[in-house]
Amino acid sequence: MDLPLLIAAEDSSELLDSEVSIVLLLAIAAAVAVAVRRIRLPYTVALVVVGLGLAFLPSTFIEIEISADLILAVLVPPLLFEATLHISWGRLRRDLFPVLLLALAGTLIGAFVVGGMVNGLVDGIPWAPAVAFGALISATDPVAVIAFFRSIGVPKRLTILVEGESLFNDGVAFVVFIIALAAARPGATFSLGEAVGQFIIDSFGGLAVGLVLGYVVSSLILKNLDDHLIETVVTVALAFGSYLLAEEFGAILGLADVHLSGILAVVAAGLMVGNIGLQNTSPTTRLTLENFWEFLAFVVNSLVFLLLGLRIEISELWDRVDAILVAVVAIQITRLIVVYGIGTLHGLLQPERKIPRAYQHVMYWGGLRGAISVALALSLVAEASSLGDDVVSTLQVMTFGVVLFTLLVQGLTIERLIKRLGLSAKAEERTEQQRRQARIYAQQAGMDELDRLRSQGVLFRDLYEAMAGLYQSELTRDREQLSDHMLRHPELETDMYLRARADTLRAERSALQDAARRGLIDEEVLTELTAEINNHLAALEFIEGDARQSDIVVTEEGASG
Amino acid sequence: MADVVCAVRGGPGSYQTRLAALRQAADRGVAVHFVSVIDPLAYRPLHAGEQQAIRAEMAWRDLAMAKATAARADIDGVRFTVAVRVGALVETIAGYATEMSAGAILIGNPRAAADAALGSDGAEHFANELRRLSGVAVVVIPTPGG
Repeated sequence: MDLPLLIAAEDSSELLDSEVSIVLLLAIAAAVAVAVRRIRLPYTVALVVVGLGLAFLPSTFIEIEISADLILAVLVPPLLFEATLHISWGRLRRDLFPVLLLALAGTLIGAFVVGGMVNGLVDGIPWAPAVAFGALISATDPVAVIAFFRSIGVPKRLTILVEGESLFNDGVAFVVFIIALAAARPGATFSLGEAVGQFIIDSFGGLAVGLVLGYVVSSLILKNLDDHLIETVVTVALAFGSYLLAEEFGAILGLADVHLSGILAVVAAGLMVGNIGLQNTSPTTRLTLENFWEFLAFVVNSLVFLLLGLRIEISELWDRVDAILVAVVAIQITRLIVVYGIGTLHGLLQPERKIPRAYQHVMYWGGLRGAISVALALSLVAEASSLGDDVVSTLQVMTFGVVLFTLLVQGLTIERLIKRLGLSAKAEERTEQQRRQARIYAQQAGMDELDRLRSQGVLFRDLYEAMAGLYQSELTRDREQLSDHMLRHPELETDMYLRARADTLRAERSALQDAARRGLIDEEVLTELTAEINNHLAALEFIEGDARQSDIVVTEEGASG
Repeated sequence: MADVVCAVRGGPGSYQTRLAALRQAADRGVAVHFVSVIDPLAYRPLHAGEQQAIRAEMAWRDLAMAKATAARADIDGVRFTVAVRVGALVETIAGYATEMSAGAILIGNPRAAADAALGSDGAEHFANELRRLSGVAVVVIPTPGG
């Protein structure tokens, strides 16, 4: 009896230590988040800086055992799942070809070009680990860039190109990373044919697992259930379950050699939930799910950056500054080749969907590196016995250096570049429009309340008339000001129309779902009419993209307004 | 007097173009035919349901925007129609103008100022081509501030 109790006590103590460490990290993350609100710095940039500062703390202050499993199976799935939830398949499908070209060819080029430069220019890094580094550092992270995109209103197509490339290159980078690490193990032999075969099985197998699970969950559970708590739990099970099922697929079938990409499984499952599952849920459930995943991604993002900060010492960064410089130059050269090379090739293959040069500049400079690269670098601890501590440490320091450079230099200048290229949708004018609309909305509510008070007899008639007159004159003035503003910036009116139309279509869809739940219409009618409305929503995205691109077409090809 | 054809694409210059077309039609006592042209290369790969939805939504948008523009400018009694066509931009607008026996075609030029600064003659070339194909007077409406 004594021994199990003792073990339990030790486990309990370790658990408590880990819990204390996680609480401390979350408190630091929260403090960073509060601080960045005041100093207008992107959150991830601040996390990197604070992460570096953590290296000065005593090593016993925060104790968390970092394992590859913790990083890959626990921290990576929520990051990817959350990122996919907002991606519209309708938009992604139109640019799937360039997105896949960038993700597939771009990551492979990145892995080998960066790998070659690191192998040739950094002492003591053999080929296979260098390629593994090339792969992990090719995974772009759009979190910081997308935040800018949203605040300054860039064209939706540019957003989808950046987000889509990032999602799929995460998966491809992970597969190449795993293959390269396997080739680096002592006694391993490398065959190009086998590697290509493994790459195909990993990628397509992972996608298939995610698509099937995502479809089943979306169409059988999310569509037919209206309980925001259960649906949230189901999506959590899906995100982690799809990763685990893909990774363990071979083991489950008794085929030890078969491995499928868990990352791509999560990407596919997230796309299914975002495009099928969420479209068939109530507004309450959608809001709950979005808030929950946003929260989880925030926590995980924070932990990943802070954990890397704990692993790296400032002195290591300084000692390996030459290696970091090689890595920074290598990723810049690679990104130039990938974005402009693939952009040009794609323009020749699909001229009707040519990516405008201005977009390519943003895609080049906006190719920041973040959580996924950091997570994969952290997972290298499992390879210390085969690669050697020095190699693992150098690769981690290089990763941190590159992430730091892209976030601090590129991340802080991308907004200026977007504005210089004329891709910003005049954020100030849009904010002014919203401000005026909000005033009218609030005054109208005040007016309604005044009417209610009068109708209930708690307000004298003459007082009501005096107050209503004042409200009316304010309303008239603000409506005129809004109208003047829209006349000065007529491009805002199209946006206003498209937003309102999309809202009305979503309201129609909700009404249909409500009617189906109440048994007023059959499932078949619901499916048919929902598909019709979804087509109209996709059409609005097409129209919006068409209108936003009309400037560029005029400049480059000569067309009407 | 012949009707006016107005080709807009929902971009920044659309409002001024639409307004000019409605004013011109009101002054002359004729109708305005708004036409939106969809690029076939982007449109044809889509499935039938989406194609139909795009045409319907474009017509909806053009109707709503034309009504709003007319109401805001206090332009009463002008008859207008909307049409959505798929095809090469200049040929399709020219063909539509011929079909409507139009007396003028109004198009927008949201980057007029930028083009002028850069020395580009893109919009001018487009207007000339449209004039040549349709045989109808083409008016390019510049957007204030370009």
